[in-house]
Amino acid sequence: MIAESLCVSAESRTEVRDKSSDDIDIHSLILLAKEESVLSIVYESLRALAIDDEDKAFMDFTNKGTVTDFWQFMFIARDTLGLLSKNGINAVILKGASVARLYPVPESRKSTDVDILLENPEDFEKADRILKNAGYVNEDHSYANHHREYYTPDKRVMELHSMAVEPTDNVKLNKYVSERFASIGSEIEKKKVLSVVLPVFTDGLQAFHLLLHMIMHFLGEGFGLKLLCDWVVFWNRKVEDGEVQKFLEDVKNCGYEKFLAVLTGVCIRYLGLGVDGTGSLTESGNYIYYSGGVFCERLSSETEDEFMREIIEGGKHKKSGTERMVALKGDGILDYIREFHHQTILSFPKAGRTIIALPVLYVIVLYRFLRNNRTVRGGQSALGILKSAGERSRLARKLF
Amino acid sequence: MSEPKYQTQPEFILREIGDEAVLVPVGAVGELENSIINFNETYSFIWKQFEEPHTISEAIENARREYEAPEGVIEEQVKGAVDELIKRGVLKAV
Repeated sequence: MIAESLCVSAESRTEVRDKSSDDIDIHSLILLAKEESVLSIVYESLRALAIDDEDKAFMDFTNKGTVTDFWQFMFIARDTLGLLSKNGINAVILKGASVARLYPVPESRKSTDVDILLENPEDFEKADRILKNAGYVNEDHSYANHHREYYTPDKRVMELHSMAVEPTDNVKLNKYVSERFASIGSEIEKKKVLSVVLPVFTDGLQAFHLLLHMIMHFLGEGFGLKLLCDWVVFWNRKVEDGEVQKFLEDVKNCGYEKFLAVLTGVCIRYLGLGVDGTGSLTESGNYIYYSGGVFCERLSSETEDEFMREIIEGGKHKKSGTERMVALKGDGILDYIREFHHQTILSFPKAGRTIIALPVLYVIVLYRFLRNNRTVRGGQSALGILKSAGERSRLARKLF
Repeated sequence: MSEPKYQTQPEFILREIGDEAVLVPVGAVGELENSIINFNETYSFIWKQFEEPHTISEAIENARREYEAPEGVIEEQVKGAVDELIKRGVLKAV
């Protein structure tokens, strides 16, 4: 159904729909779509099925909220970027409308906030002053993970970022990403999103950012189907070879080829990437191609299935708003300690620098993870949680 | 004197998603800025009539062809909706 909904042409939609099974529990499907934040994406396809009045009313209500949110966040993005630009600060919109514009119905992509990245991180404090003068409020004055959260004058959430993605515990990778996003002026372009002009990344950098964002969530609290849908609509259109090459070079330099392969493979297998033949990618044998050559080599179907299960699990955590145990680099006690240290620094960026406070902070972080995972996993034991984390870690080791 | 023609303004776009229709001001439009206006069927119909320049009489005539209603009802509804859209700056004489 998602594959059908992400097709641009009506002919492709009909073709995909005909291949779908008729034996569907529609009510469960609606709830799952809501849980995964993709209900509005499959709205039209679901409405084409025989749904009862109660489900229809629920879908209409949810869809109306998504459409309203989309426009309110669009206005915030436009006004905030305009305000910063008027004061000599260049910025670009991350995810949100920059990806929504690629959907057949842009309003169908659910938004919960606006993310804005400053072109020059040194503008952060100046931008902060400008926003506060304009009525934006940052209640906790935090600056964790290189971003700060504000409430706009109409009480919506806007995040200002000085880095495109939060740092990992891999210093070399952090350095590459930081340098890659250091001078992006030439890789920002103005695009019309339903008549509103917004600065967005050019395709190569946009793809790289989407991938980094997914990896960050995969190794952290997980991510749901919505980000996979972003990947499908991004590649289900023509992307210039030069931009694809730039993206593949970034992927290679970071060692993310396997993650790219499993992600793209899953999107082809389950979500209709490349299904209408009008996009940038095609599949042949074990390889996925773009018009300039090989895009990636697919991993085994078992690994793709394992990855898809992780996505669904990640969606549950996102829905419940809880953190879960992150994927680790190894199974040993040192790997757990290293990850706790990294998570502690991310959670307590200031206090984490004080060595004497670290043992207390470790205990807080450990307690939070166990409590949150226990809630989501229905009272699972601490040992069970660590075991699940171990399974995720094994998948992570296959991919990185 | 010939009847004036009206047209929708580019500062607004109509978005129809499922059964919902919303008018979104995407330009500088004063009091309606940053608001999202729910449109019913009448208003959506009127909007579409004036995407190209038309007179009110032409819109009424087209509405009569599209809908059935007792004498005077269509005329009243179309005029009412057009007046409101002119007042809000959504329609302007061309």
